[in-house]
Amino acid sequence: MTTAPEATRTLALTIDGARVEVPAGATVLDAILAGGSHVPHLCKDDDQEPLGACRTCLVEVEGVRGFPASCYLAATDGMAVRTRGEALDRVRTNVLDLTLGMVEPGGRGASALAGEAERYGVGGRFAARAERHLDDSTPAFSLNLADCILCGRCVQGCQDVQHIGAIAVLGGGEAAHIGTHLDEPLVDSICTSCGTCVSVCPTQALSPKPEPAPVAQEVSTTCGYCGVGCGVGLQIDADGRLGWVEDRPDNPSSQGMLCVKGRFGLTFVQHEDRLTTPLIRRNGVLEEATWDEALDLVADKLVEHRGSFAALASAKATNEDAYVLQKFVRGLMGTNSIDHCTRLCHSPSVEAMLMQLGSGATSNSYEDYDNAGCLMVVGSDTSSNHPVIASRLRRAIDERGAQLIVVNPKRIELCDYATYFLQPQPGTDVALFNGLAKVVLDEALVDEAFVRDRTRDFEAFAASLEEYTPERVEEITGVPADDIRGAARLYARPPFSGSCVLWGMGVTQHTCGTDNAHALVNLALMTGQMGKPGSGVSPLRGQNNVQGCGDAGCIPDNLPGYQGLGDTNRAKFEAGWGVELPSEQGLRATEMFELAAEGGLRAMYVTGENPLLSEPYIAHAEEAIERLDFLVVQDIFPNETTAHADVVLPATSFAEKDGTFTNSERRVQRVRKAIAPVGQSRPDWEITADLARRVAKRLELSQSQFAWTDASEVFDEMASLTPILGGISYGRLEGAGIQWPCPTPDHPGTPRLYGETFSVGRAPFVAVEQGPPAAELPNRRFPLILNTGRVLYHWHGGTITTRARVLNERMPELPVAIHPRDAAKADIEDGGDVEVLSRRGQLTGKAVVTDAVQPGSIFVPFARLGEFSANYLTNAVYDPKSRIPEYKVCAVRIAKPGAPDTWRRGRGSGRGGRRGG
Amino acid sequence: MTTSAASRYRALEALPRERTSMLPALHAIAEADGWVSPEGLAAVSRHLRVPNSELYGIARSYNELRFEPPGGTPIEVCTGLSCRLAGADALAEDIRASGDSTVEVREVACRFRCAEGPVVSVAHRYIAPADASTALTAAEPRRRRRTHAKRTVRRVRRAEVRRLMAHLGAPSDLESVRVRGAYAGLDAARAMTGEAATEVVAASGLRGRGGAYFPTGVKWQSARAFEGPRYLVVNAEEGEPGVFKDRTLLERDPHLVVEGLLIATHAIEAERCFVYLNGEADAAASALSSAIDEASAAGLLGGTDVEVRRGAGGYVCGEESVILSSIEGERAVPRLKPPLPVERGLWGRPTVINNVETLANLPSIFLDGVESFRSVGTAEQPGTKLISLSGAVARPGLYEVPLGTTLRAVLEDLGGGGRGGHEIRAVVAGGPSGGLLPPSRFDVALLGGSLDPGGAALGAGGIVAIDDSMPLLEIVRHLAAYNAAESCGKCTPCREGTPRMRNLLGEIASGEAPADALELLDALDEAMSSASLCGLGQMAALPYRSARTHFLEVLTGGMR
Repeated sequence: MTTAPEATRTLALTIDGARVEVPAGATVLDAILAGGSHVPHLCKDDDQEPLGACRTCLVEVEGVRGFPASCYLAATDGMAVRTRGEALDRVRTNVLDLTLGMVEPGGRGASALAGEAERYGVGGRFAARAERHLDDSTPAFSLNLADCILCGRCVQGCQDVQHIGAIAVLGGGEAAHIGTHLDEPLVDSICTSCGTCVSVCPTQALSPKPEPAPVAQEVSTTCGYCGVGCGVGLQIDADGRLGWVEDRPDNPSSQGMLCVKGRFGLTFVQHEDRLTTPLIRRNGVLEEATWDEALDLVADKLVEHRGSFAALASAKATNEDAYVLQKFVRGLMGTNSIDHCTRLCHSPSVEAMLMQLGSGATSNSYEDYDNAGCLMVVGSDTSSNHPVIASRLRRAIDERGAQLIVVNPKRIELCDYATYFLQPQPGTDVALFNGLAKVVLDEALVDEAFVRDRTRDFEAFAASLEEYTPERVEEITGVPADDIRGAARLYARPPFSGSCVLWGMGVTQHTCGTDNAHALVNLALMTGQMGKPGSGVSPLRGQNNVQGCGDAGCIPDNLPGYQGLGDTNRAKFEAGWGVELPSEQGLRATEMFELAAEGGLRAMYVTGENPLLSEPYIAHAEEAIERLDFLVVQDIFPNETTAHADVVLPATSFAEKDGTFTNSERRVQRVRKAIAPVGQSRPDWEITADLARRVAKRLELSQSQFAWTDASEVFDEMASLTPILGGISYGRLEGAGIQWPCPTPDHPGTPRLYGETFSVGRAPFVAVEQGPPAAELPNRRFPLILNTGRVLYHWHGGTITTRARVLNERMPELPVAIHPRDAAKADIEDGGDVEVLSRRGQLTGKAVVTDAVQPGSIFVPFARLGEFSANYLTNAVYDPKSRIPEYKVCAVRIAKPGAPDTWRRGRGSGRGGRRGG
Repeated sequence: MTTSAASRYRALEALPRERTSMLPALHAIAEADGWVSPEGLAAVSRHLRVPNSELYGIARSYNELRFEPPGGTPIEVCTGLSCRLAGADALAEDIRASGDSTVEVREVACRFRCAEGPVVSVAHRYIAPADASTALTAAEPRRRRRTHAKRTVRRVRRAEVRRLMAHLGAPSDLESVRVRGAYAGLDAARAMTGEAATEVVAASGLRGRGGAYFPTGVKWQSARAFEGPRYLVVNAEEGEPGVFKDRTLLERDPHLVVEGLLIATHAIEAERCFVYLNGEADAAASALSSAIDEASAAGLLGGTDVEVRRGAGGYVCGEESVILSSIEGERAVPRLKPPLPVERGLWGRPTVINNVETLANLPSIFLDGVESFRSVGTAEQPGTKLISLSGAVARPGLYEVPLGTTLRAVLEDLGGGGRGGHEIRAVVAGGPSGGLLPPSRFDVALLGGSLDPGGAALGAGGIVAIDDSMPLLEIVRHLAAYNAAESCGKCTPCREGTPRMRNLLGEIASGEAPADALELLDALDEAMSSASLCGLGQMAALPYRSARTHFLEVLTGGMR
């Protein structure tokens, strides 16, 4: 290791006669760099273990024979090191000359080595033998072996950092080269284009496409894609254009890792399709308008519809954006009808966890995944949706021997690492989790002390498991009884440390979503896998700020910081905000559309959400939106919902504003402005505050409640009213961010919840029963189950990622994963077109014939690629407890386009819009 | 996986799903398919949960593994130096000239039967000496039977002191060896503490016989200074051309080695022991495995877990840190030192790596005592050394001599001088990591460390006598080419330096070398020797340097 823990002693040595102090554990190379001397170090990455391959960091050490490489030579007290010397220079020059002989003269590699070559007077002594192979197959970057010096840093990045293993050094001696499995093109390999290799390559043999312009500045901020919360360094050129995205090793959540979306997918921020001016619908057409025109119109209309109004906040926007919006909705519009996309992803998790544990947030830190002995990943294709967490999971498995249990109806990438892969029939999760619990109970694996001291209602729960024997559960779920036993034992008694359970939409997006979550929490409680290092429960948050959006109060049943709507809390906020607040719970997102469809809701303010792509059964949602009197949409791109708006307000992306995001481990992190706002776009909170002042004026209320001058003032106000964030301010967020709860300015934050207590007292067990697997099951006419979800290269609806060149080129068409048996039946070939039809609509996609899906199931991502999206097909039925739609199961059939379809007769065409059937 | 693949790879599926099963897994699929096929790799990737490119990179680091289906029955013709001196080049030509399309002639590096050349192997079976007709016969489908090699061990000569070789040729089953006192040394060692046993070995002055001659007792003491669990790794890779001593011991007296490794295990208090054995040494492997089984059945292992691992080629696999990487299932490339294996070896635990011959010395040290051990050899380097003598001598074979014996005694008293009455013009001592010695240096005493400023070294004890049947320049080029082919490719000086050295020597031979060829070769020598990561690179220039020191005229003849 090149870094020593804090508070270790320092040691002193001399480098070229000058005294240098370094912490114990430092290498001689560290000391050389600390002392301002120079040696080349082509294969040594600042943040990684030394490779010792380039042999250019050689030094002389008094009393030591030869020229050791300084990158892995431990510094010792009193050591006398020289970086120059006649023989040393001669050897180094020859090694550099051999290195230069590997690259094509005049190429990128030669240019990268030119500085060292000049410094040591190196010049073409040995005949060049550059490899001439160029792999240009991926849209993200190219690999040109003519510029490669085989330092091995890219392989270290791919294998030891990301644990992907898509590239390797192949062969030995002069035949050694960087390549893939069987030397296939990168695009056909398991490479995910995360770009780690590109970022570490010292000679630009791996270089991004197109080559970025010179960097004028780099701004450290937080990635705006998923809930992992990776640190990104946005590199901006002299013209203010975003170029390369650097990873941030100092970010504790991502530890220097990024995925393809963070690395190559942020170019959307300056895409030509960005909304640049406010738009007002005149005579049915959206026309450009001034901010004053637009905001005055919106203010007039919203005042008019006060009492029949609801708003959708954006989990992509900042905490500050969210806080200001909910303050506007509650304080001025007089309603708690504000919600966001959590309704469509983790509302069941939040529902279950709030009831049983007192908080809907992930209980542990990512660090606990690193330390766990058993990792159970349920209904989450982590490699696609939280790629950096997947890397941490693979690292825990590879390096520490953690055991992995995957529960998923689809075979996912992580299955390659799993000890147990449980593949239940869709909709049978309650039975499976109860089955696991039954094994724990029967085999005396219950954590008796935890259950006794920390929980209640165990007996009733235990009694409810009676029917769920492994054999019975095998009949229901299709998972072999022995695997159920093995997985239960592993989770309850991991080989070391604790067990973490991570889950995604596969648990929640069912009509029994909340029951699924209860069943998982029960399992964690009965085994005591909670509150101790290496354990915990983690609903992996999808959007970058879905945690923060809820924290900031954009939910219909809580004020900021999950403070309920009771009198005391309301009084506190009323005092702070100087207005009277509504006490009645507001509408949840899915209820808003139902009420709108019935005509009970007249106006909506939608910010950074695209319900006409994300709601189930889009045709139905479209009708609901059409019935509104007034719709204002605030977003960065035109989308399916802006197309129906009366006013469109252009907001800035995360790259153009200051603020904070809160990630899936409750870490509040800074978002910093890196580029100028595109066109006339403005940060969401500024737009909302401007609108609020106009509304306040019309209502003859004080405008001073919406008069912040910058984002940090917004945060401070939120922190002052929100105990879990009370100790956090921008000043404290300069470093690693802070994990809430953080009640006071001297509180370090909370990496792990529930170590000692639950806020609900004793955590209750909640007995749940397996019901019908889904609301809509296959029949003769619709014989297949459609499962929806996400893919690595696209983000949710695809509005953003289809505007990021690299991502769109990696996956331009909608893939439909079909089991070979079902494909053969329908005469569908891999790579060919396929039609998918449900009772509600149809789509055409590209067939991916794979046994990763079970026979009888197909998988379609819900991104809209080309003309189509999975939500044309999905079923608008809901979990009664959380009101989440059942995205994960509906009945469909597939057909080859143009093939005679006995069921098609007499039916119209079109992408959707037909009811019933 | 298809059903047929599942049954084909049954041996793979039986292996633990851990990375350490890597090389056994690759052997299993290579055995099943006759090559490392994409289907086999996919099965390994799945079974061991290793990403496919990473796996492919690991597999491709072993040069005995084949990545193309064989184009016929492979006939492997050894083209090690000793076999070339015995006519291997012509043999390969003759087999090719037969026009038999059912066979595929592969010229391979040393097959370690150097005293019996020219050597041919068909499906791990050896014909030595071979001619085209016996080679082709051996490759006929129904004729692929075990062909017995000629004896390497000859009768005892005057200059010899046979300790390790005392019982070679006698029955080697457990019952027989116990009659002659085997495992009594182990009993003696076990009667004392591990620490005391380590002190005995330190007092004996025993040094490592793999080539470095590091004091064994000191190595053990160092490892003991670090918290356990500790491991013992027996280096039985013996991948140096011209050396065949460890194989011979393992084939003919495996219990001697088992007893030695059990003594070492006791002394360092090791938890597990791995024997890393050359992938070609099937006879040694089966003899050793039987001996371990016998010892285990007789309760001699004392709870020690002894596991035999097979290598898959590569001179660098004899480098001790490469063995560690290989056992762990990583690419066969050297690790950075420090830390030394005694501090952080296998899976980061203190690990002692000892050569087979070193361990074979232990039983007599404990049975007959330190004084007896020190009664031969020199004060600094007591004991005997096994010498693998091959090339142009009358009596090639394996001999055991006191350390300090002169090279001349080995060549003349044991080897009987040049074969066919020809003069010995030079010897190669230390193989491709050593160099040439001229007759004027034949009176040098054979001891560990450098024998000669030119580069020759005793090393593992391989001595190849050279007559006028091959040009000296070609011998130097041959050794340089071997080092280039065996470079693992990890570090720049070796990967880039060795092929350039080979090319320049080739250009000298063909009269096409640039005028400053010697200057370039000297620069390469210095860069490779001073800057390479491991011993292979650091010593890869020695054949050149020795030629430049003693036979300058053969190098300067070819300048433009």
